[in-house]
Amino acid sequence: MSVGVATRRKRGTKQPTNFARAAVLFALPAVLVYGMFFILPVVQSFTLAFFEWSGLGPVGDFVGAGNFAKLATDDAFLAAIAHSFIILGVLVLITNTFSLALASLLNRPLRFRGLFRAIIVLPYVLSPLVVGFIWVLILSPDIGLLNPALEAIGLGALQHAWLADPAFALPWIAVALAWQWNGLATLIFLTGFQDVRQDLLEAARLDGAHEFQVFRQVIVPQLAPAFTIANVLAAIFALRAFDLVYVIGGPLGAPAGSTTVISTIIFGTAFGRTSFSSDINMAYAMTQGVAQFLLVGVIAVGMLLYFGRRERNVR
Amino acid sequence: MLDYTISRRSLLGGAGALGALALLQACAPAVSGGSSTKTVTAWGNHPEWQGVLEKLTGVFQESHSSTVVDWQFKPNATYQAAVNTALSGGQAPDVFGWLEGPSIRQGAADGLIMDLTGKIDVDNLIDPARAQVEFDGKVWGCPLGAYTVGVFYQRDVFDDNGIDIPTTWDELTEASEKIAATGLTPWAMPAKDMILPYFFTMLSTSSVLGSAGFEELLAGDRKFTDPDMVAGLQLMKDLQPYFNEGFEAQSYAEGKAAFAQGRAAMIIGGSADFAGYQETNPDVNVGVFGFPSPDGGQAVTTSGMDLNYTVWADSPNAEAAAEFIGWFVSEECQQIVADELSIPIRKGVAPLGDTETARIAREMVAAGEPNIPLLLDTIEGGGTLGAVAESSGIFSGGVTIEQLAEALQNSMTTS
Repeated sequence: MSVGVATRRKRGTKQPTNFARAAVLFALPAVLVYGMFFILPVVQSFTLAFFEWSGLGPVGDFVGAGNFAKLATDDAFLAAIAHSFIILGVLVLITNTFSLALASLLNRPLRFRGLFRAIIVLPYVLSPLVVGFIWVLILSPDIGLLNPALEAIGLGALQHAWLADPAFALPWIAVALAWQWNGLATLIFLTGFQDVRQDLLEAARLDGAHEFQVFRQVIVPQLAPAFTIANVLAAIFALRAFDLVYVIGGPLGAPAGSTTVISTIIFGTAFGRTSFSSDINMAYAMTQGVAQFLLVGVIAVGMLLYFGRRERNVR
Repeated sequence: MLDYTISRRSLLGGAGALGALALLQACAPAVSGGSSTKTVTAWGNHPEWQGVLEKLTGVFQESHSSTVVDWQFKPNATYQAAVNTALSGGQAPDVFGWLEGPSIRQGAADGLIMDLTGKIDVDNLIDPARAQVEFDGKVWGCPLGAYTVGVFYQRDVFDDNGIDIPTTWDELTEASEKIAATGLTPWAMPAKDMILPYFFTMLSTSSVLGSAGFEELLAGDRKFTDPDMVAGLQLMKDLQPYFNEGFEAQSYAEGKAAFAQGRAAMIIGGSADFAGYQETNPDVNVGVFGFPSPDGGQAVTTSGMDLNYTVWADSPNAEAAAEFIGWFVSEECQQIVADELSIPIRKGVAPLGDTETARIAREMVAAGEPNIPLLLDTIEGGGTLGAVAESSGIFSGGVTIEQLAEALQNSMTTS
């Protein structure tokens, strides 16, 4: 008996060490792959931002913070940041209004609810390139769907070459991105609705609260974690947008540079802004990439802190 | 009964041998069709040329049976990016091209391409082609064809409406007015990537300069900001009402397709574009004229090189690849180029056939005397293209013609 106890004690004391060793061994391959294919390139990018390098041949001279100084006065890059923030604003607005309302609707016992949910989520599953082409086709002045639709409902006077007008092109791109993003945002809120406590809803209704009060005072506070996830991901989605924007606005952010965003500027700097261009600067593109990384990081962390505090207040 | 058990040592040994074999296979040069056949991989930027290029390589292989050429195509808009990425990753094809301009020099300076001195018959290259690939006392590559840019027009539209080929800027504007009056769009001017507006500015300013003026521009004696040059730039702005609706957001490819389908009467186009028009519309019935001068003088065209093909410095099939590129200068290759593809880069070769491509090539040659090199060729960093590309606000009023002229002049850092 005493031997058995001793053995158990011995095993008991060794267990954490063995467990830790096993955990490290299991995690090691993933950590190595992550380090090799993510951490290392990111560190290299940071390093290259301090050098001159076109992207071909050997890396040039060390230029210190020269590339960052250039960035601070680069009107095209600053305009692209402004455009990205406009998209961010539209996405956050759509997320917290339209996607939330849609999730609330789809949470009700509707007929064909599963089908509706699938339709709503579908745009997010599509490639951003495909979504871009769809919207180019919708808005084209030659073969588009929107202008004939306006004509058909008696609003022909509103027909327009939407993507050729600097005043409309970026808002339409934001709408296209929001159309795609809405799928995931709605899904996140739907998941949140599953966690809403039914007893609190019933209690509120018994106390005489009408439906809007129930929604605002009982449901919305309980959706706090969903708000956090949806808004932070919306910010990341907006500030990193590339494919869809590139398809619609092209390498120059047509028309007249009104649709450049951070990622399209980085691509143009790295690989040339036109199909005949040989003017490339990989080191400066890295600098822009570092700036984007920091910007996304600061915004995401800031939002996490803000929404995290809201979540704690709800609890 | 036989016992087929395998010991762990045998198993590990076998696995090791298989691994070594796999490694050897991976390290072996790309060889197919037997040990004596080399497969040379070549990257092109005109998917629409695939048929003609395969015909060309078929002719090459008749005299070089040990070499198989595998053409792969990257869209023109992302071609340079794909090449740069492949070079950076050490996975470049045996043969790839550089966009005209200084990039090939950078590639040579960085040791990315093979010295082909003695392998390319440069004496038979036309001068603009030779200037692209011969520098620092060495030969680094060879273009397959050249291109000449002029004004394509719908022959039926001009004939049916009694419109003559314009010989002055005023006539060009009048022709645009007449066509607009018929309800057809006079000009396809896709400006999403500013390539065609760039070619327009090069043509309109070249029509002011002529050959002598072009040399003066290079020497710094003429400037884009001179009043007559600004007028050339202003012409594009004056013709803007005749451009297709939504042109600011239309891509080069979409614009070309619209013209080929007859949805516009004129488009600035290169000799290489005709194959694309035919692919979009096999019945396309177009002609080409040189850009008219301001006051009835000689019309002009402007020329550049298609890709300058080179051999990757680390190519495992370098010799075969060099032979393939060297063959580009041959008469048999350039005759096919002239008849079916583009403007030949070998001296003395002219389109012979009765194909539509040959007719267009002949019209191009006839249309452009003087045929002025694109400034892209001669300016470090492709500065003039960048200047026009960054001035896309000229159509919306965000950039003035004077600012565009200033930007063009500032980009003139002669090599």
